[in-house]
Amino acid sequence: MNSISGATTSSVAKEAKRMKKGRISGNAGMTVLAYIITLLMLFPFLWMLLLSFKTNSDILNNPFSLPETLSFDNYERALTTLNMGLLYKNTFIIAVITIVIEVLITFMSSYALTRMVFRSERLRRSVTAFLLAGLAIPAFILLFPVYRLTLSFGLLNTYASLIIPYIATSISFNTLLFTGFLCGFPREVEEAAIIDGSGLLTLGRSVVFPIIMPVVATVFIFNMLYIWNEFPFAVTLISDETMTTISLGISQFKGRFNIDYGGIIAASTLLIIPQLVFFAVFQRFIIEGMTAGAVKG
Amino acid sequence: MKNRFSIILMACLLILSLAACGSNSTPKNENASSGAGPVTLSIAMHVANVKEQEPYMYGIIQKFQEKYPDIKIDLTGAETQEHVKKMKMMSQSGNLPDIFWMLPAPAKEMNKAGLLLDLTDFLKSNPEVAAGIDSQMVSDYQDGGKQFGLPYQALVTGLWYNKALFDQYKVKVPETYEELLAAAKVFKANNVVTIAKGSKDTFSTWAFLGMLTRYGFFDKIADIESGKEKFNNPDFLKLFNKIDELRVNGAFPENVSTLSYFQAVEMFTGGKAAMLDAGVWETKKIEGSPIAKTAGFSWGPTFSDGVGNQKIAMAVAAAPLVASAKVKDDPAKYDAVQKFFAFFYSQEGAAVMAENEAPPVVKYTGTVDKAKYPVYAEVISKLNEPGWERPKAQPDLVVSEAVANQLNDSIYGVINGIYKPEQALDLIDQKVAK
Amino acid sequence: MIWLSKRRTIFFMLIPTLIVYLGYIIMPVLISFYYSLTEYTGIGAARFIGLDNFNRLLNDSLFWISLKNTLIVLAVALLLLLPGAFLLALLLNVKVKGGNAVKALNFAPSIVAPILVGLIWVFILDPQMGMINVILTKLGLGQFALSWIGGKTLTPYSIGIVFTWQMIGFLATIFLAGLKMIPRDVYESSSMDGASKVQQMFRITIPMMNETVKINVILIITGVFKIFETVLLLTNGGPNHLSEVMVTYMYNVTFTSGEYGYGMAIATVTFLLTLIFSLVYMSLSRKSIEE
Repeated sequence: MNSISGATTSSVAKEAKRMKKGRISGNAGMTVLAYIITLLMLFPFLWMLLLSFKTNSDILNNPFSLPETLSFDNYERALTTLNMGLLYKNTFIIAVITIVIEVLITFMSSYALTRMVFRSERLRRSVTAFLLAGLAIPAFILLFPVYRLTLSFGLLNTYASLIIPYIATSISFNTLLFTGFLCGFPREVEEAAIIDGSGLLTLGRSVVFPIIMPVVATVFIFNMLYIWNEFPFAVTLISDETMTTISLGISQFKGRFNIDYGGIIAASTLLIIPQLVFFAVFQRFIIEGMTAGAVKG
Repeated sequence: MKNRFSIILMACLLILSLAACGSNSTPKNENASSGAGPVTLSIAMHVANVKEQEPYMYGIIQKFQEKYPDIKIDLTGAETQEHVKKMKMMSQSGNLPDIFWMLPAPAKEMNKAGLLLDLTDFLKSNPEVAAGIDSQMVSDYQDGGKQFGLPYQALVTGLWYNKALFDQYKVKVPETYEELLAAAKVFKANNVVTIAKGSKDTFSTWAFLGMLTRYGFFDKIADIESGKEKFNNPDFLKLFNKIDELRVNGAFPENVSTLSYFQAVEMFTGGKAAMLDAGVWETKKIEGSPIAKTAGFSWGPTFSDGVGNQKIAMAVAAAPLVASAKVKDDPAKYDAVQKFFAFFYSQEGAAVMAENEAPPVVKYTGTVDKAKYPVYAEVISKLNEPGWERPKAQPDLVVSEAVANQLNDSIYGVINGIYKPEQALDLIDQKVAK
Repeated sequence: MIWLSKRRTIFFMLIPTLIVYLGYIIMPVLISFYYSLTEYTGIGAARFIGLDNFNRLLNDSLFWISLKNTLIVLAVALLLLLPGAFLLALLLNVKVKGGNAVKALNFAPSIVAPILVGLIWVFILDPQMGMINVILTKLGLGQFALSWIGGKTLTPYSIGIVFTWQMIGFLATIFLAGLKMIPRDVYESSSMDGASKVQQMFRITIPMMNETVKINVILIITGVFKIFETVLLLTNGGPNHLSEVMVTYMYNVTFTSGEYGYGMAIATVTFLLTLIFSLVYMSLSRKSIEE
């Protein structure tokens, strides 16, 4: 008996070693592949970086040539035209309030829709489908009515004027992600907690929320970036200069019959870098969140 | 602990309601006050960055505030299409700014709905303003017995040309269509674009709209709209066949369908195209480009088979500056609006306009420094050249937005080689029928 | 679960979402639907004309072109984007050096301002001065230098490719979250049983990713029917509406031509088509699971 188990142990160890080795060499190949793909994806972006040092006429007439001299004119113009601090402050305030509220309410509703017992299954399904239908709605058809609503609530030119429509338009996306992932996730853990006597709030806060942390992080990142780039609502509901958000920045470089491409490219470069850093940082929570959940599970 | 969720929710609601209250207690750009105190005028323009993109308007506002320190101006803007959309939305909810820029067709609609201030009284009490603006341009914005707006700028369009390229290939700068066609053939053989254009921006058809007036557009348009005549008539067809002929002979860039107007401009200022279909708003840009010394402006070709006077110079009213009918409810505001219009069309205003090389809407009596602004001086001299008739308007500005849109689309359809001339005209007729 | 599911509790959990959704999404949609039954320029009063706008739609060749183009983009996205995003997620799931940076950079295309996407891709795809054709011609392969955009046929395919480029990082991130949710011990116990990597892929990863795939397919369908800025800036629907997709055509009719009522009719039909496509997919995928 002893010898057999000994053999098994050593073969398992060998196997593990072999796997580890394979993983390393596989990783080298994977790394190269990942870099190549990233480079391909980034190519247009790198090109944009190059264009940001060229004059407008050079950008349109000789897009492929290397800039003759490294000119920072475009960046200078971008920085004098845009009040970056203000843009970031407004966008950030709007984004944080929006995301806290929407994650809370859509998580609650999605949890109810996937875990709770409805009187009829049909009702549950139709409420879910009803909430998902919003995904099919292009923002343009909401503009006129939402403008009216905002005006009648006296909210024009306030943060709330954007916060409410942003929450509303995120409901469908969040519901899709939350219900989708909750459906695919086993309920045994929760049931054990309930048997231990936890109430709904404890259950939500200390059992379920940590488990689906990767999804919460994903929802958080996407909504942040959505708000960062959202244009139709922002341009419609905000006219006060002190309320402008990042997404409105680009339009500063457009006239009736002219466009300052150099300024736009430089401004976009300046705006996209913080976004990438933000994404890189928060991407981690998708991974860390999972490890935390796994330990508890 | 147990209540944390509800506490957060309460907090959020509180924030929301605070934000809501905050805005209610400090109404912005709404009727500030009446009577003696300072008045706030809200002005909305069609670019997001008025200071940079419409320096003319910005300069006037600065000067105006210096002169009338009691009148505060709250200036806002959004890019053209967004601006138009916004004004429509505001008009639905009775929330229009006091003064704003608008495209002619929707401005007319707003006037029909009784939303715009009638400026007839203003012109009567300010005869010097009425005398300063081209009378044709003033009458463009009259409808239903009301003067619903005044021209913001002159729309002066035609064909820019680069004399250097014409000299290089020994071609005459065309005055007639035959000369234009001959030049196109020479340029094509030498790989030079004759007329730089970009169909991605379908609005950029100015020179061709001008040509339409040389085939009797304004004699026919009333009949076309009442159904007695068609766009697909023998005269317009002659013009559309000529556009097709220019295409076949390689007068346009080969990739015209993927170019934008801005690329076309760069093509011209970069010396790669002999001509550019545009207007005098490009003056400042051309003035600052390498071809400034050799650039010229023309009214476009005349046609031997055209209808009526061929010497038509497209210098018309661009788009109106209008005021909300509501300003009349507040005497102080009404007074401020009138002061603003009076200042805008005064010689002081015209001076700001000239400084910014904007097309003059008021007869400007100052002089232009020829050495410093050769291109602007050329434009001004073209405008003052005797013997040229001014049309009523640019053709697309007297029809509905839908027909105007199709008109541009049809012209580009022929230039792109997508539509046959008859087909292009039929498509416009279909829109008129609706 | 049942003893937590008091009606009052369910009500409390659903109500905030429902209030915002009804007020800011459903009500505006109903208002827009009403306008689709009218003739309206966006100014003044709307005139009720019943179903005339929908009748007009049936005979509007541009509407059918925009529908056809949208479906082409959808096909390209399903064939290219979906598997592409999945493979990219698998790749990003392997620990590589600088993994976070790589993930972030792959996400870059979805956050570049659309106006730049338009500008840069025109420089790549333009038939005359675009990079692809310049290179092809230099290589002596001039016969393959086609009109990727601006011609009569290829534009929607090119749009599908640009859309794929834009969305792949976005969808890969969702796939990645799905991969991270698969408990690690499932893999560990299966490799104990001697399952190979490939077997693990087909027996564990793909079945357990079922919900994630569903999410992404729904996002692709709804995303494609909403494509707007990419087309607007790449071709502006041109030449002459031949590359129009449903939302750009709707936008053109509504805001450029000022036919608000007709535009809302197009929007209504677009909305219904998206719903139908999504529902058909959902019911198909449910069936395949049940089998």
